[in-house]
Amino acid sequence: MMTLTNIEKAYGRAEERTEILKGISVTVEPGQIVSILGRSGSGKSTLLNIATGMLRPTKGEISFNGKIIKQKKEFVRLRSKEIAYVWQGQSLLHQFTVLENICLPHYIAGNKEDLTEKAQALLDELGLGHLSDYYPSQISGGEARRVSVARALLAEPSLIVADEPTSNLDADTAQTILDMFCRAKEKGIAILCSTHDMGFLSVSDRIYKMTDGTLEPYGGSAE
Amino acid sequence: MDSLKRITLFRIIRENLARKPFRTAAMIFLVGLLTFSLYTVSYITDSMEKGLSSSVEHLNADIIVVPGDYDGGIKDALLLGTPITVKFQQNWADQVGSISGVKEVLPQFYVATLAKSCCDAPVQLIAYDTASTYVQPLVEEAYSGTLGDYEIIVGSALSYEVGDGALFYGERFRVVGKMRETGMGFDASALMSTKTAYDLSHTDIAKDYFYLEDPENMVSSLLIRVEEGVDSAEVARTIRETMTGEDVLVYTTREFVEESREQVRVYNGFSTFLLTVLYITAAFAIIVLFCITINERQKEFGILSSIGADGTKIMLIIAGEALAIMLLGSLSGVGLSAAGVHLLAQFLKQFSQLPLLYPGVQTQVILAGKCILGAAVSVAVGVGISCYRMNQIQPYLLVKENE
Repeated sequence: MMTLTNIEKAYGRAEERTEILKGISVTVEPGQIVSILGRSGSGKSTLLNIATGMLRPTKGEISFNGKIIKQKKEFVRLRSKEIAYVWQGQSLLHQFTVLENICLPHYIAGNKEDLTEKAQALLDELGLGHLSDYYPSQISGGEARRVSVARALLAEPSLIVADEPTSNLDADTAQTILDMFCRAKEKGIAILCSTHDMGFLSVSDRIYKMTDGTLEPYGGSAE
Repeated sequence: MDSLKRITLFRIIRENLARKPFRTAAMIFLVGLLTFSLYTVSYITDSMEKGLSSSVEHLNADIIVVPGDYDGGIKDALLLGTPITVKFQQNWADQVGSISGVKEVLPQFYVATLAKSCCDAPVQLIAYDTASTYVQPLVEEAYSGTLGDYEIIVGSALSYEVGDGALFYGERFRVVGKMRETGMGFDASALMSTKTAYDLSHTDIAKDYFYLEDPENMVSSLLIRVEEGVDSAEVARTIRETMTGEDVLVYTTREFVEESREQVRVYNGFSTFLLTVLYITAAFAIIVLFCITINERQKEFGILSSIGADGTKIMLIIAGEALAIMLLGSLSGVGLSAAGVHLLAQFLKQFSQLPLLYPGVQTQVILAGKCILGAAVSVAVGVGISCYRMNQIQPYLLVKENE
């Protein structure tokens, strides 16, 4: 599915150069949950951004389904059809309702099929059914995070990349999201995420720990 | 449950504009201000140029002779339609007509009507010899017959129509023709025969204002046409020499409007400078505003990119918004200007004492097109710069820079 090979990322030049990622390789296969642990600033988000093509690596290679992805437009196509990204922070468009935000990627990709019912069902499952006509400015940060998860799940992509999808959520909601991710996994969807959630770690196929830009298998779970 | 309305690019553009009304209104206002100013200044400049050209054309004379004391007044009457009564009983026409090189002479007599109950309104009455072969094309065009007693041909700015009655000095006149718009004094004037002027001067009310004893010898100005191939400046010099001792001023038509021409040149220079400064300033403001606005919306475009919108789609959204803002702004700017520019032009006409001839519909459409194009160029540059800059930034940084 997706393989990241010897990924390096550095900012600045010469003496001021800061290396964020130092030759990271990781693979995620269909139906797998791969989790990455690590302290804040260790480079987890940078790695996930590189995996989705939101950020260019300084060095390294990314392949998806065996094809090496280099061009920006190839990543855009992947984000449109194959990869859904749940990032940290507000990722909803203010001018659309919650329900519209969930369906937006579907329409951006040029699809015409009406997914309203499916989107509403996802919202109901996440306990947000009553917020479907609300605008992002009218909901809390935790609710917005759940809407992002619903958006990622709606299109049933091949890969979901999620940056701490359950952080700052109450235990019940975190469990709901975890259950949904597990069901996605059962459908063959691959999940690459950063998390500190023990529940998430328990269902992960492989766990890595990111330390100072390097990735090590964690607790013997990684192959 | 109700189905969602499909989210198309058009809908994204519409929502983006509608959900940020202040931002949208500010941008429309700026574009509107640019086109309003461009259109207004261009319109007035064009009116001045046309007014002056029209004056030269419609005077239909090579030389003009006016009494010295009434020089400014007659200019204002002919060019601006400011009513004046010039009573000067001298038989200059014969004197001038006999000078070599002079083809035709048309004596005219000016009578201002009064702002009193005896008159409909203060207008300039111009009496001329209807028997003369020197009839101006403008007059001929308005009325092909010979003006009878108390018959008048009115200028375009007067509210009368052919067949209407008009009241001047307590006497009833009949409107038999209406001249087309010239931008000069003719527009606010009414033409009558010399005989009517004489008869009028003997009526109860008018005799107190301009009693004429000898209609043959009354004159306010002479319009002179010279023989073909003859230099009008040379003939004007000869007229001056012949009429030495008479209190008259002799102008070639070019000299007659020279002061106005000089004024138009000054206004033109000023308006060109103003237009240039205005355009550069407003265009720069529009470009900067677009750049700032799009820069501030980097996160929004980053989110779109993260959910699969490619550069072309994002650019189409930005361009679509810009097009809507540009069209709304420029059309309202030009529309408001077109609606109000006449009032401003009237004020300017009083202030500058220049004849104005408003551009026709075709010219107005071309002017509007130029103004809209000017605004479109500014907007396109703003959008182009913003899109180029955004395209250079990686999507993650678009999202992060605003967080």
